[in-house]
Amino acid sequence: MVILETRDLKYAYPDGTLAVDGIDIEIEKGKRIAFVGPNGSGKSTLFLLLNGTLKPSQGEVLFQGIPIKYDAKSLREVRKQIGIVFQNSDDQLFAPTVYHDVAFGPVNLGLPEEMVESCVNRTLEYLGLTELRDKPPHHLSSGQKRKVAIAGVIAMEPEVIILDEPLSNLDPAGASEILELLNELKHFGKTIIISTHDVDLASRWADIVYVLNGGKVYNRGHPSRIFSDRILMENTKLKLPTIVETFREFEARGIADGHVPMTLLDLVDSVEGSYIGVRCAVADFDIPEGQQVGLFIREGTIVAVPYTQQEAVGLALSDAAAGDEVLIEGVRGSLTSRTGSIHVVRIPRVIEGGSKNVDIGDLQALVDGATFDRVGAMGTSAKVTAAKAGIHPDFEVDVIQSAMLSALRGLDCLVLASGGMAELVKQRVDERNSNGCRNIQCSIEII
Amino acid sequence: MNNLLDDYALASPLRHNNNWLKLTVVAVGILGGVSAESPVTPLFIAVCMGFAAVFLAKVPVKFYLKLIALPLGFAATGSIVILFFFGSGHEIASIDTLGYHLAIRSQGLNMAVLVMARTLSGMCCLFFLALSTPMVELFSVLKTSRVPDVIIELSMLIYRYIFVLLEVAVSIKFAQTVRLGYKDLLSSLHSTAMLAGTLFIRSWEQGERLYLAMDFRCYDGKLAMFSQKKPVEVHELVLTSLYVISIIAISFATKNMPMI
Repeated sequence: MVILETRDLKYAYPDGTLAVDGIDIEIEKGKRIAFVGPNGSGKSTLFLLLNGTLKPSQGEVLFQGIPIKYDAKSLREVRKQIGIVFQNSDDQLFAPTVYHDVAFGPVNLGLPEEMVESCVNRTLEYLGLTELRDKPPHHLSSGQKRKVAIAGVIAMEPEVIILDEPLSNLDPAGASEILELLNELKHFGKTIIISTHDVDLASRWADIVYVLNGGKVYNRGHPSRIFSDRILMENTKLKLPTIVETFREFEARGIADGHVPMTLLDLVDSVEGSYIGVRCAVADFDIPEGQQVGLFIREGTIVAVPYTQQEAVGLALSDAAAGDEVLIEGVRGSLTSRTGSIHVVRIPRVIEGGSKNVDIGDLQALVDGATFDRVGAMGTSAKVTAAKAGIHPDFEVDVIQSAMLSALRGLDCLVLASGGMAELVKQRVDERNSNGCRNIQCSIEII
Repeated sequence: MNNLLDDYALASPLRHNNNWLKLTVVAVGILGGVSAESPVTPLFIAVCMGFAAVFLAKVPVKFYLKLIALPLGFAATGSIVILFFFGSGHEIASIDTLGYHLAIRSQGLNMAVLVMARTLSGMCCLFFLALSTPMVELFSVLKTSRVPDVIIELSMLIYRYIFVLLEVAVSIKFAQTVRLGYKDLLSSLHSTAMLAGTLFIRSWEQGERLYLAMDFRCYDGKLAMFSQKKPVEVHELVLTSLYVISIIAISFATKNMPMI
């Protein structure tokens, strides 16, 4: 379902600058959209047009199929449905305390006092901001301010959330927290639109990317198509994502092949077939480039031996699976080693009572009893529960990807996931398994 | 930025006590101090308030003394003038300088001591309030005392943006300083003027963005102003009553006491 749409949208500033020059976009509900483009490409102006702050000189904006009207009452409705988070949080946080700021929207929507209070408390708890409730904004760090700004917007329960450069000026930990939050919101069916210069972010995060340049949509599509196009990137003063650049270099050396990867996991998959060969080449022997080697399997590990010495060493090696000897040219594809598993434990969401409904003892017993190499926590209630149970998660961001990467290295992972995210993990793993990659075992447990 | 009175108040354990109770304590203190006729009552109030600020509101002693010293410096200069040029009565001491005869008389001395004591008590009361009740809490007090919403909302916004603009001002000043903007009097004046001008423009822009931000969130003329319910505890009530009664008692006991 298309939730937000523009038709031949044009906007000229009073001085005549055409900031938006005939933009047509169609945004589907529940998708993650990234607008990328150089400074002055019209991203911010477009956002102001999308929620009706600016009135287009030509064309129209449609929300849920109906053109936006520009009278005060209709605009209020639009603003309730389309929330915007500013790039600079200080512009947005104007109330004396965190509580007052988050309550601002609900109060102006005319909710009664008790409902405002419960709504604000729920939002704060959901974002893990309860501790900061009575603090004034000038006592918060940049990351906390950004979170409060987002809280203020989601307290109004909009359908679409627009964020202008959501990760700018944040430290890596703060940035990943915000990113995780955006993913969580997406999971609850919100449509999320961001603008960014950060191609790495856009490529791994977005479902659809719009490239803006000079007030026009230069290109649009799935990140793997947009960001693999070097010429397109150069024309728009953007650079290739690091993952793509790495892949290109690998590809040129014949190490990687297949689709252009967008995530670390994709990249690992693209070299999956050949990395064993790479590792072999740096084994016990100093092997010059291009030399033929023989491969032996010793205790489950493949060892490379220069072709010339093969016989001598081969004798010593050939104990377990003697004679499993291949030439390096022939090694490509699926040499499987042991694959780890992913065990998902579903933790109730904050709304369902969160960690209060979890038997902490059971959880601790589960962690102590089984031998998990890595533990991940996904979603607010899962993180809170982990902290309560004294579990220190190895990964709290990009959990699904990190878990799969670990599993591919033969490690067993436990993932604590809030609510429906548990199914999401399984779904993503199954999706991957069905793509003909190495199978990762994934099981869900509900406690 | 952890050196504003408001920052201490926000961190103070007394922040979460009933605001009206604190206001009563302070009001009684100020009235008691000002209406007292002997310096004993104001001094008692000052000691009580100082004690409360340091031990209950957990303000560092050093900081508190520094804070008190400032207004006391002003009061002292005033008192010295009163000491030499005020009142009649018998002469206690005198100095002859440059042909002038400066005498300290009993009434003048009494008056000077009283003024000092009253100033001290008043300041201690106000500092107690400032150090235990952040602005944020006062907004809800204003709301319940039926101050017009417009005024409260404006003060809430002003309060918030004081800190935003303060940060801007500090960074502009720093930028000027590192480029020798304050190397002599002339350049200091010039830089200060520039700072003020830029700040004005910045606050103007900030205002426009603020308007947008409020509009985006469906501003309809309402700012949230709910206050948490903070019931008065029994021991607080007992302590406050004791304090009020002692002030009244001391006030009466020392009413006609000859001072010096």
